[in-house]
Amino acid sequence: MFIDAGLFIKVFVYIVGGIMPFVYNYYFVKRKAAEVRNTKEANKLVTQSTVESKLPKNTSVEPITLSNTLSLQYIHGQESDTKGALAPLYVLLVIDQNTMNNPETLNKVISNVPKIVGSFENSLARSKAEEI
Amino acid sequence: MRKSIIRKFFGILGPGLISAVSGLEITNIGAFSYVGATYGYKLLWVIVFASSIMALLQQLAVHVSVYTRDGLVTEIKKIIGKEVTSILIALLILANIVTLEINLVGVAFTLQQLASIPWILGLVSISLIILAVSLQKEYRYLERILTIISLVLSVYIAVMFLYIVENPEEVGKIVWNITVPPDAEFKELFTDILAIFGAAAAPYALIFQSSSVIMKDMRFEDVPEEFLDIFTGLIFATFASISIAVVAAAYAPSNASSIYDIILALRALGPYAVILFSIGVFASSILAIEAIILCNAYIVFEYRCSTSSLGDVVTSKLYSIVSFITVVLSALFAFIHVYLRGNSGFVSLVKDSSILISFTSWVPALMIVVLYWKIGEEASSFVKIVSTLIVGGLIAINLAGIIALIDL
Repeated sequence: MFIDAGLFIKVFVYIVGGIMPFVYNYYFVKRKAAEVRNTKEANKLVTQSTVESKLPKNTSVEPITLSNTLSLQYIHGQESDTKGALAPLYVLLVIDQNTMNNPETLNKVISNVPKIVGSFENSLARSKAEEI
Repeated sequence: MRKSIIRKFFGILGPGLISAVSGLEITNIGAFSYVGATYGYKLLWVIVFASSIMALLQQLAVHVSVYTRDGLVTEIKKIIGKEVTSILIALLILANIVTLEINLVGVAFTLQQLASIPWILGLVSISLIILAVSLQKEYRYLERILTIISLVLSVYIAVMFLYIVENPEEVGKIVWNITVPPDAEFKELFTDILAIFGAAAAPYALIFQSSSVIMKDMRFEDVPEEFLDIFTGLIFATFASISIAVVAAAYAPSNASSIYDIILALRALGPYAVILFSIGVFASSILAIEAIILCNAYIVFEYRCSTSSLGDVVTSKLYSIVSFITVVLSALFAFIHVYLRGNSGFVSLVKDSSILISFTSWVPALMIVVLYWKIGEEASSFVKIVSTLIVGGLIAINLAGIIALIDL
């Protein structure tokens, strides 16, 4: 059985030129929008985990000394053979003096860091899984 | 569960049907009736093809506008410069004036058919009414009424259903002709295919798509939902257009030339056909005309002031000036067009105008595709290539059309 080449070309142009780009573009933008949504959710979590404290009146501000560093063991490397080693994730904490002078709040902020990093890791893993 | 599905279905059906039917201006009705009456189902696939391309361009217009947060004219001016942009917008304004002109002629001819009012008198009266409405600036209430009235045109869908119920064997033929382009001498049908592209194009729709995105301050996450709306619109608009062609193929005379021949397609409705057709065409054409006037003012305003707010446009002095010039030029074009064509009938007038609109339909398409290439990683490479080929193809077939017409 032979396929009519002329008919095949016409149907091909009709579908690839007319209908397919329209449908493909919908799924392409849908995937991109899901990525944007995930990133925004992660950013929202960072904003929500901000802890504020007020400096008590007549309190002098002392110079800050870094006494300890926190090491995070997470799978932030994208490839399985570079887990956290070749692609370390740096977390920069911007802490104001009010928080710095309040040990309880400072503890809260630092203890939230793994949670924030975890949410990033989850969203990364989710988008990776969607791509696959 | 079942209730919510039914509610969802009617939630989509209602707005989809309203926007599709109210968008059926006389250009579409005339062009699709002519195609159906002359070629039967042979060119149904062109309607689907042209509508899909328009829907893709609408998608790209939304995507580009969400990314740039500016109107198409403002953005394209930054890329290709003021001088070239001015040529493009002049062509776009011309396409709008031609669309308006054929709508004016359509309404005037319909009035002549309905109440024996001479078309010249009808044309002048309609032009004055339209000018008065657009200068009033606030006509949202009237717009709603006209949209509801234009729903009368859904009689085309009803008549098509009646026809396929009586002739169930036609369903297979219709579906086959929509899905598979039939063997035909495309060279002979060339200008008619261009006319379908022109009727489906509506360049002003792309400008409004972009403006609505900016006015709604749409976020990128909302774009897929907007794409679904465009998809629903595509389905309904194509369905309505196909129903016109099918009804014309079934009932209109094969050498349809006058507005009476177009109305004959609805003869299943008996004496109500003329009245229903006239009311529907009158409402939908006035809706289209007001949108076109607003679009012209919007383009000129954006070119001069780089703003994308429709509110600013309507309250500006420029709006009144552009409205006046657009209506006067359209009425003048209408007189010249009818005079030049003599007594060749309304269908040939629609064909001329649709071909002219098709010649300029690539202008907004080109603007959108150029901007789409600029949005970088957010754009799909496949869509970039296909849309470039589409615009290239549109320019090529229109150039070929101009050459063919000059030869004729």
